[in-house]
This record gives sequence, structure tokens and C-alpha cells, in this order.
Amino acid sequence: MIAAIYYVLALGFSLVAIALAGIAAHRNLIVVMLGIEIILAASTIVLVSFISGIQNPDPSGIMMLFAIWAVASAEIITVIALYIYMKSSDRSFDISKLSKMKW
Amino acid sequence: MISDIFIIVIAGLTICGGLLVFLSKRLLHAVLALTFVFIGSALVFAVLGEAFVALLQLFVFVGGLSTYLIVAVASETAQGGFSKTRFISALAVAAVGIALIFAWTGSGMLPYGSGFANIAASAISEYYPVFFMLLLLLFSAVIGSVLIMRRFVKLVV
Repeated sequence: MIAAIYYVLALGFSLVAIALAGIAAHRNLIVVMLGIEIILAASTIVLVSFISGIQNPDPSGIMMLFAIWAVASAEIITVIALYIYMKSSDRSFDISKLSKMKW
Repeated sequence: MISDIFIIVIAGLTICGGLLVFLSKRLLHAVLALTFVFIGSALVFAVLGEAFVALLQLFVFVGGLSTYLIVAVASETAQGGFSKTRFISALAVAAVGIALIFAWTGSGMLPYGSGFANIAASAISEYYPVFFMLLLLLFSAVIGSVLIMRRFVKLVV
């Protein structure tokens, strides 16, 4: 099981690296937010691998897992609303053109 | 040993999914690749023995949020109307998928690790203020989305 945890940790770190590279390289707002979603998925992978590796896990670690899930869910809600709004109003998804957040 | 090989294969496929999110030219393909990452992480949780987390990941993220995201992105190019054959085929695929998950969890093949469900239940009673904060976070996200969508409705109408 210990070897398996190392593989899973490697998976989590690889996903974070891929997501960071993708966020740095992409200019599409929605794809950038999908990259943040990948980072959150990687953090759940790392957290669960640590929790499964110890005998009596602390409940606060599980609360952290719920918190990550809540942030990821809130982000998906925001992505959907932003995508539909920006698509319908013919706004550009290019983040370099989104210089100000004006309501 | 077999579980190690299984984890390596799943990890490889999940990393491919993560790469496809950024390499896809169409947004729909990127969203599908993200769904693949969620499925891969759920499989990793299952192999680690955390059946409860794996099922939560499958039902909430793959079944709920990813489907919602795919529908939102795909609806931009889709035509209106209702196809009965498409609905029946989608229903058949969903039924087979759910039946497979149900058979897998009930067959005893799934290892049970640290008793995640029991710890989660005790954590809920111990850390209930944190749950209220998470509830507020989700509620504010929903309110923000509704405010954005109000502008969308004004644009359409």
C-alpha cells in the first residue's frame, strides 16, 4: 500500500504541474478555470492518499476534503454562469483583454 | 502488486486527461477531458480503499457537476428539440453505468480502508461551524451566478 501511495502522490504532483503550465500558457478564461479545477482535484488526491496511509486519521483532514469539494463546486457554478454570460454577450474569453472587473 | 499496476495505468490515463484539458482545441473536449480526470481520481480513491470518497467523487463531480458543465458548453452548438432515440440510448448507457457501480460496490471487491464514512460522520458533529461556512460559500456562489444570469436574461429578452 505504501508504494501505491507514492504513485498516487506522484499523480497528484504531476496534475498540479500540468495545470500550472496550462494556466500559464493559456489565455482562455474558461480553460484557466478548468486548470484551477484540476489543481483542486489533485489536492483531493494528495489528501486522500495521506488519509488512507495512516491508521487513525484526524477528522480535521476530512473537513479539509469537504472544504476543497465545496470550493471546487462553487468554482464550477461560477464557470457555467460566466461562460453562458460571456458567450451570450459576445465578450472575448481572452484573459489579457479582461483588464478590469466592472459591473 | 496488481493494485500498483492498476494505479499506474489509472494515473497515466488521468495525466493524459489533464494534458488534454489544455491541448484540446474545442472547449467541449476540454470539459470532457476534465470529466476524465474526475473519473480517474475516483478510481484512484477506490483502489486506495476509500470507497465512500470514490462514490462521492463519482456521483457529485462526474454525475452532477461535470454533466452540468458539459450540457452548458454543448448547448451553445446544439439544436433545439427532443430526440426520443437519443434519450433512450442515453438512458441505457446511464442505467448500465449505475448498475456496474452498484454491482461493484455490493460485490465485496471494493476494499474498505480507514472507515472514511464513520470518521466523516463524527467530523460533521465536531466541526459543524465549518460546514456552515462552506454552506455560506456555496450559497454566495449561487447568488453570484444568479446575478450574472440576470444580466444574461436581460440580454436575451
